[in-house]
Amino acid sequence: MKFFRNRRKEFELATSPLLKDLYRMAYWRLGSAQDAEDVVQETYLRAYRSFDTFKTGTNLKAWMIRILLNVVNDTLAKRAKQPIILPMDEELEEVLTVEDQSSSAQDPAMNLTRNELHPDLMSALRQLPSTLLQPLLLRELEEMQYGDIATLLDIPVGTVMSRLFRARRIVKQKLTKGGFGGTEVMNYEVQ
Amino acid sequence: MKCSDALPLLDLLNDGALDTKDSALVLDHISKCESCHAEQASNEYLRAKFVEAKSDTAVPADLMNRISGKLKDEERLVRLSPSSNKMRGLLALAACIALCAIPLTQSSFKSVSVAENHPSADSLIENATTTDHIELASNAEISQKVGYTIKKVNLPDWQLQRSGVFANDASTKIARFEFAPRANFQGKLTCYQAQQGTISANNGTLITIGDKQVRVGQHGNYSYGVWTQNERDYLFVSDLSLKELENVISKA
Repeated sequence: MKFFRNRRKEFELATSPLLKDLYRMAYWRLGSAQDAEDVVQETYLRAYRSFDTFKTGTNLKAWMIRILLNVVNDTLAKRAKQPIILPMDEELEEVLTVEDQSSSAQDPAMNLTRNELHPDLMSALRQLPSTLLQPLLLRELEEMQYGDIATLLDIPVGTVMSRLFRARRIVKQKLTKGGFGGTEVMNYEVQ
Repeated sequence: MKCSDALPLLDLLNDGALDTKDSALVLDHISKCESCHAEQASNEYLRAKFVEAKSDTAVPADLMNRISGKLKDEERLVRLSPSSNKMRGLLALAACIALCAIPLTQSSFKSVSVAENHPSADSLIENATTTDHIELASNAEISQKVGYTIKKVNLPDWQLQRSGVFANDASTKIARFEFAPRANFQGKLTCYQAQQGTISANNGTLITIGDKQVRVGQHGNYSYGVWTQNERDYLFVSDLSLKELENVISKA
């Protein structure tokens, strides 16, 4: 560990191996490479500013992901207040129609792009409210244990399990049926 | 096992959260039940999709460099900020120079020094912030590396993070230990230990802490204390306040 003047280098040394995890989480949470880059950069800045509050010996990755999720939420909240300019695009119109039925409608950052990775999976994930999407991504992408997810999201382990179950069910149905919409899926989102 | 029992357990099975006995029961059921088998197949399909998505998500090649650049900018901003301790110190120093019009020589800044031909005290204190001239060594092997026995120092509230040998040249070998607090308070502490006569203090204030005559002072953002005890010179450097450092030294 480097002290004082090398605080920045110490921070970079400790956190640079987490870049891939953070970027991946941001990308699949937001559905946009550019948004993911912005969010990850802001995450590193915020984490650096408060690195002194990180307790040595605790889970650095979980600490960074918590900051990342806060940045994502702040970004989405900020954008939700801004007027959305809708392009005259048939595909996007269709997406927005379905989004209105889910919490993802509040995520203007989740814009479907033609160049995105695995568009079928991305589209399915976009149907999830953030309460279901976050635990699913933490489990599937970051392979976090139930207990760690519970701690990170500050919810009981039982809630993590039930949210994972519901999230997977929705995504599976979307992937197997294809297309958008469907009242059956929306019913699962009601808690 | 019924389907209604098995279905909720499939996720747990796939996440490795089921014990061996329950896993065996669920697997046995899946092997016999067509609908649960299909459900499990769709789970595996979803898992495969995520594995694929995970491996295909590539980080932009220069992202870390860009982040690094932003962190450097941030570091510079903090240093130049009027609210930073360092800047406050510089402003105070500038005011002092302007008011007193006394030319400050380099030696005026030396608060603690290492014996002749060795780095100045400023370098030694600032060395606490770097890994320059430091050869990492475990606590067990450090005595051998410095060529003298390391005396035990009592620091009950601190946990050793790293140890090493400061060696600016072949003849000066000083043991360095870096500590982090055990309890829930913030601070960092770097302790140097050398043979008596290696580290000398020219500046600061000489005070009595317990049975020790300690020269204490402030160097930039850091507090320091230097004293001799049991044929060893000790230099403690910390971002704690001077009062807090004196408290640490009193227990050492």
